[in-house]
Amino acid sequence: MPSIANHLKRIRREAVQNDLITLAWAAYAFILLILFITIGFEAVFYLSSAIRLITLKIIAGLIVAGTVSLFIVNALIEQNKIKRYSWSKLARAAGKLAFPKSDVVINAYQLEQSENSYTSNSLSKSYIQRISNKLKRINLKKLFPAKRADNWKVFSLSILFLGSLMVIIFWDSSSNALTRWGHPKHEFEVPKPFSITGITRNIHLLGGDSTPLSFEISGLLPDSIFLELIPSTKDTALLLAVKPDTNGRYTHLMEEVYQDYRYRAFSPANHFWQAWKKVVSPDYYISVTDRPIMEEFSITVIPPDYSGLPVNIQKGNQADVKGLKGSTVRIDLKSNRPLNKGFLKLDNEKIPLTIRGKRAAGGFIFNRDALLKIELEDNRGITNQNPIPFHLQILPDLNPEMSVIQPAQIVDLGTDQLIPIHLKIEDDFGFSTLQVGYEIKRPSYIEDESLISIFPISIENSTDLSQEVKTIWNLVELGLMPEDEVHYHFEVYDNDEVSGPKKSISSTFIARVPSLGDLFTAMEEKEDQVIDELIMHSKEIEGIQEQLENMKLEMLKSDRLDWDQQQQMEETLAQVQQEADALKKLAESMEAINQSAEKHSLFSDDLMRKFKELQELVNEILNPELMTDLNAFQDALEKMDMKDIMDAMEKLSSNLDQVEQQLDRFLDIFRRIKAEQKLDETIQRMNQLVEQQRIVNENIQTLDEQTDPATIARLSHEEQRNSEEFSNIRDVMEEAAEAMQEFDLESAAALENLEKDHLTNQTESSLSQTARQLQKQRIQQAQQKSAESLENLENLQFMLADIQSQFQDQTTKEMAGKFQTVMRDLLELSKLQESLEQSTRTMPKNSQRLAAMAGQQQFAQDQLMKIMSSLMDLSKETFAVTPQMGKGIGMANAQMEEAKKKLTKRNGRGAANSQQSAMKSLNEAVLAVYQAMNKMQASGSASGYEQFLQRMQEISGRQQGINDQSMQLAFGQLFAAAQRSLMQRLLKQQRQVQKSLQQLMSETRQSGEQGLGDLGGIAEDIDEVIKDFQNKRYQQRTKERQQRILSRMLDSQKSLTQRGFKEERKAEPANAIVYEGPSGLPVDYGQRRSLAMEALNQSLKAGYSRDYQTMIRRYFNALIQSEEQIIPTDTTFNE
Amino acid sequence: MNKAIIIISCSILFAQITVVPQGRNLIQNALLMERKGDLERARTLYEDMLRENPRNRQAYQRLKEILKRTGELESAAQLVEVWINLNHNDLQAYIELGEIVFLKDDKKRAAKIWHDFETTYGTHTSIYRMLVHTFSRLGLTEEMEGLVKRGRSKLGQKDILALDLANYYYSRQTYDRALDEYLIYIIEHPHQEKLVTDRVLLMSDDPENHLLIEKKLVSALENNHVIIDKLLAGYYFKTSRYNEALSTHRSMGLHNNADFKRWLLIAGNLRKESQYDLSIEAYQELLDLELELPPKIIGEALLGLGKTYEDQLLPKTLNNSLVSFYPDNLFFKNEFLQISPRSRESLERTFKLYQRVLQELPASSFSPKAHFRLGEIQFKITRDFDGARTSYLSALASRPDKNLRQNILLRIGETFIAEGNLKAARNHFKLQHRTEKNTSISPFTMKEIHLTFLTGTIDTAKTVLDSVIVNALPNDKYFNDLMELQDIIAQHYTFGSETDKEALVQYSIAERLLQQYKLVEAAEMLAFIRENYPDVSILPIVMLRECLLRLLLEDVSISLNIAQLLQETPFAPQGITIQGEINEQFYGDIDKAMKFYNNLLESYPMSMLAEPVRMHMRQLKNVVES
Repeated sequence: MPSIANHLKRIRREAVQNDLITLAWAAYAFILLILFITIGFEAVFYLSSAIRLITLKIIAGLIVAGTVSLFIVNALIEQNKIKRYSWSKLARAAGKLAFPKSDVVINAYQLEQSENSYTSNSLSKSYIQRISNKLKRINLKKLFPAKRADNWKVFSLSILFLGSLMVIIFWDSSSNALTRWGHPKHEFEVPKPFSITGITRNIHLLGGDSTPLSFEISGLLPDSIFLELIPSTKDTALLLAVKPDTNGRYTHLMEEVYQDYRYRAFSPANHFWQAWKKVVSPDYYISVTDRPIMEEFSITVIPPDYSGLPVNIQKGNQADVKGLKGSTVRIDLKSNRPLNKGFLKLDNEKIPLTIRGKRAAGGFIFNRDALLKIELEDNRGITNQNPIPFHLQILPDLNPEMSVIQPAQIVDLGTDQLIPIHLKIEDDFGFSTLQVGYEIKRPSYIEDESLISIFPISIENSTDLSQEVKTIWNLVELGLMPEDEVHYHFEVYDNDEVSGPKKSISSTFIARVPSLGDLFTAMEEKEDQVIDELIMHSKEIEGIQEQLENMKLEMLKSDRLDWDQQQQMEETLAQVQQEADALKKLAESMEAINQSAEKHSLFSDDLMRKFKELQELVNEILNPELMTDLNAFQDALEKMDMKDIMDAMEKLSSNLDQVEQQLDRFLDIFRRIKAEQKLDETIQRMNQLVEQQRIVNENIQTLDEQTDPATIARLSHEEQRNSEEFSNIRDVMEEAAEAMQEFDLESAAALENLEKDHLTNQTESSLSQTARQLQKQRIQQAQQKSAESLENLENLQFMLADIQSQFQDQTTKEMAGKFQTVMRDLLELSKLQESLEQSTRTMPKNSQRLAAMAGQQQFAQDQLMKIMSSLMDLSKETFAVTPQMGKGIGMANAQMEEAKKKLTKRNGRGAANSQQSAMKSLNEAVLAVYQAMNKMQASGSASGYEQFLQRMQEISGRQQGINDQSMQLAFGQLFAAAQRSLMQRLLKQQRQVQKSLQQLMSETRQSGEQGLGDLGGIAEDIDEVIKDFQNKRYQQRTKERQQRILSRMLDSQKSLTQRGFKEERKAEPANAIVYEGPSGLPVDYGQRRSLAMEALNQSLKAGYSRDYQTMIRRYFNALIQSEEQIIPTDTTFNE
Repeated sequence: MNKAIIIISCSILFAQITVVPQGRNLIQNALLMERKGDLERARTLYEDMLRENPRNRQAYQRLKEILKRTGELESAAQLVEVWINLNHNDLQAYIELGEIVFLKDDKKRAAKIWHDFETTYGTHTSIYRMLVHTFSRLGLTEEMEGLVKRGRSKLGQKDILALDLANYYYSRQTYDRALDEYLIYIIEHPHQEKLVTDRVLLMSDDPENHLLIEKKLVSALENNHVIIDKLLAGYYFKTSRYNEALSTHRSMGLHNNADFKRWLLIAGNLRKESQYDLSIEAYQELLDLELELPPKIIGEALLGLGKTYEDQLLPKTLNNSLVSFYPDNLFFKNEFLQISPRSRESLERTFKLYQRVLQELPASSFSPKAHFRLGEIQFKITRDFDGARTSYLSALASRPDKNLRQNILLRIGETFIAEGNLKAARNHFKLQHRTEKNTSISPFTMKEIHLTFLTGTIDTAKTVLDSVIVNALPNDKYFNDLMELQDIIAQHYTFGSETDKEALVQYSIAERLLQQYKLVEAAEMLAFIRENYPDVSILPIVMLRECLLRLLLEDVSISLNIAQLLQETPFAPQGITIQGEINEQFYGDIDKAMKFYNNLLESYPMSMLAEPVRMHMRQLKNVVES
């Protein structure tokens, strides 16, 4: 009986055998698969020899590895190392198949292996035997079925069948593939579908010629082929796609070939499975023979001398050559080949070049725009091909430009007959001449021919391309008479020597010598306009006040504003604002009137001063408080605070009331001044007439029979002019008399009488007779009448002066009388107050009269109010009403009020003290009135202006003293200690001057006695000087400031219109500058920079603060820098 | 408190971040914000400060004010509560808490707060005063009265808060209660007599209060307080019940020096109020006590009596003349008096009285005064310049005080002027002037100027005038006189023509004559100027002077003519007024006078005469109607 172990060995053998069979069939299937795949791959892709070799080697390696593996596995099985074939596994499998329990066989096997130990041998053996028996009968085929092996068998046969079928079907390819696999080391060529052949093959050309490159295809025609051009210089190859033409040829035209090439065509495979990668033609060659070319080239443009431009050398890479007309152009070139000859071809004109080996040179004068070509021929006779055309372009020498900043288009000449000229001239290369061309036109009734002439203006530096020319044209020499007109224009010539100087002419300007009558009439018209406007504004303001009043009443009715009320208020505010603006404009009108009057010296100094004061008065009408109130009103309205709104309205209303009063005051004074003005005009015109008559008479007296009739005619005209003027003066006399009636009847009557006087009639008659006699050439009679006229005129002149003096005396006296009334009243009140004070002081403390005293005090206060009212009225007539008067009265009023309060509280002593203070204030007012009155009388002027001048004079004297002392510091003549001491002293003095000046300014501002002119700016300078002294330093700047302070002080005394030393915020006339030329000159000349710098300078002079100045500087620097960056890119002019 | 802490904490936490400007401390910034009206930011800053230091009183006060102002009373109350918790001794805070709660309309709680406060702290007058002021501010009259009552009872002081309460009532014109309280107060504080008297007299300004005041004062007399008598006498005096005033003083007795002085005072006051009979009666009554009186009192009484007689000497002038010539100007003033015949008796009495003083009283300080007064009568009334000078010299010899001495010296000089002896006068004043060192304008300087003017040396007068005015102060009593003279000289001399100058010199002669009381000659002189210098600038002044002088001399027709002429001069208002006065006073033609007055009002409404004339017209109308 075989042992269990033997059975198990048998079973294992059966298992291994079964698995080997299965493996064999699987390996077979795999090999077949590999075989057919490799054949297929090779048939399609034509694998390279290397791939094939490697593939085969891998397959062989795998076979060997499989065989070796089999032996190893077998050994492991024998050693029971492989679980699949382990005893236990096999025993269990057998147990499972043959016994009810799967572990029976393993148990038996284990018993068998442990037979002699602790079990019964017989039982074991019996058991083992029984098992063995059963194992003997076991069908191993059942235990290891061959199903898997069969599956593999079927699979491999299927592959074999299918593979064989494919091989048979594609026998050609497969057989070739098998052949190639059979010769793995041999490389087999891939068959291609077509071949490419070059038709043009190798080519020879001259540089710059063109040539076609053609290919033809044998086989299938691809839709395109690639043409590869490889330059001989080994530069980057060119690759071009070429399509077939109708003949099936692939041709590419190669133009202007200048170098050698190698070329070929190819067509790449379109799909990855195509065994061939590309079809390539053989390489072909293009060889090129060189033409002469220019290796070096330069064009030198030498501008004409007058331009001052530098020589410009331009390389050949720029085809545009620009230059001024008259420039010399020189060409220098070097060819790559020795040259035989060469030409410069200017349009159709040929200019030969000078040849020297490879070099050539030539030149010409640049006079017109042209096309320049350079033609060369080398010593082989080969010419250069397509010579580059150079465009010669003439740069224009632009016309000069001119902007007339001053004078205005039409000016009235003043007495000085000077026209300040301020021109800005610009040119690209400089100037030769600047002149004024003028024509003097006499009035039509003179019937004189116009005189045409020129007035040259010197240009300091004619090469300065942009410059301002300032000069003054004195027309006195032209002997202009009233109503003459000078029509003039400015001409500026540039320095163009080639084409001749070009000029620019300004438009025509007119300077007119106005007649005095014209001036006065014009002025009067302006004044009337001012008066009309003032009356209108006064009414407007009154209307606004009414509105405000109504609104106040409305507001009292409710505790909040409705929308309508709010709107109404806003409208009112806007109206007030409008009025304020209008008044500002009015002040400007007054300024214009003043300037005009001053320019033509129309009025006496005294009248001019009064005009100034009037002007200041208009300025003062708009007090800053009004503006503050407006803002406060606006704020209150925004916050909708009823109380604030009411307060703001109250203040605004009060201020408007003041404005209205001021307007009334202005109107009153203006009327008075107008009367004076009329009288002044009469005298002024009479004076001038006398002067003119004197001159004419002198001329007439020198006439004799030999005198040129033209001269006599001229004198006749002049005499006629005088006659007309006299007639006009008579009209003015009438008007003056009418205007004066309101102020002094006596003087008015005297003037009226004078106008109707026999002497006046006689004068008029003699003047016209003189003219007539001259016309008739009756010289003797004319001489007699002329002398008579002059004498009469002089008499009239004297009488008029007398009337003026009488008028002034009378008005001053009248004014003094009014002042006296006020003073008398004040004194009376002062004494009443004194008496009240004494009564109060001595009254028993429990007297019933104490309360009654308050009534008397009220009476005194009412009287004071009357005086105040009178004083207000007086202030409408004269500027001599000073703030001290107002101050005294105001103080007195306050003290009276206080006294009343104390009296009602039975505070007798306190009331007496207040009464005493009231008396004191009244006395102060008296003193002020007395002083003002005396000064007015002493000066003989009712304007009260002298007081201001006197005080100003005193202050400026002190300033002069400080300045003089300061010079010691400047010269460093003192020791340190002495310097310190002097500095302290000067500091103190300067502070005193500052205080006095502030006081004066404040007083004059309050009184409406304005005329500070430039004084406003002094405060700042004084502050600075004080600071310097405080810091114990005295510099040049300090000195300048001191001088400026003094200058302004003196100016303010001398003439209030003169701007003095100060240049801050000086207005520049706004003139339209017509700019017709290019946007600017070449950057080389820095014109733009200079424009910017000028603008900067102007801005810095405009009186801005230091911070603003810094900002302005920064801005302009940035501007200049940005220009420097930008200009080269957009201007290629000189490159 | 917890709520307040929460509120404060929340407001701190959720408040906007406040950007505090550098360089200023918080309180300054907060105050600045407050002033600028930015209460929100100010509030935030105060809250910040309180968070940092809850005892910051300033921040607390300001925050409380802001909360009150913005009507956040609840927050304010909480804030005060927190504050009280931290500051138990801040008594004002308790009252304020009550006030805030009251303003919140929680009156019961407010009353409780104040009650608790009063109970806890009501041991001192100031506590009651604090409460009274709060109650008065809130108009809680009844509470205030109750409080004062409780306070007086608790502290045992009758007058506690009497003045406060009186002022409260006074301000509300509840005069009966005010008087009660004032009387309570004055009895306890007699030294405050002036204060209470003033109040009582102010109350008496309204006649409706008279009965009440009298009743109250008379009732209060029962307690025999002298001060009440004084009040009553003062009241009678003030209400022109001089007899009763004197009687009241009489009832107060005349026993000691203080009484004598009081009596002299009332007698003097009666004289000042023109109650001459009563004044004389009072002086006499005092002098009747001859033996008991100290000589000084006798002297004072006698002089007072003399002065009273003097005051009775009525000057004979135009009644209430509206127009005057440079009124009260030293340089144009005439010291002479022309008394009415009925004043003769007074004059005799006065003489006798001064003689009595000089005879009966030993040489004392009264002698110079008596001599001086005698001299005055001789100078001004009897125009016995020699006699006057003798009296003045006697006065001078009796060692008068400084002021009197000066007056005497001035008068001596004036006697020379009145005699026309200008040289002697000048020498006299020159001598005195040299010794004068006062800073204000010396009367001797004034006299010197006057003399130079009167002598016609206008240039000299002007020079002196200028030099004096330059150094004079405007509050000097002579300043306006000087200015008037200076103006005359400037207008008619400095800026005048030669004729003007001449006329002014002539005018000075007229003034010289007036100083000698040669009225007729002066008028003639003025007429001479008027006729011979028709174009001079001083003419209007000359005419006005003559016009007024002619009236005094009763040359009415001439005066009327001149007044008519004045209408063409700057003195037109004066001319019109004088015409009215002449028609009114001399011709008794009121209607015509009224026409002139009306003319003045219409033609010269701004004249200084317009108001007096208007008042005069009203009086005239009343007289006519009555």
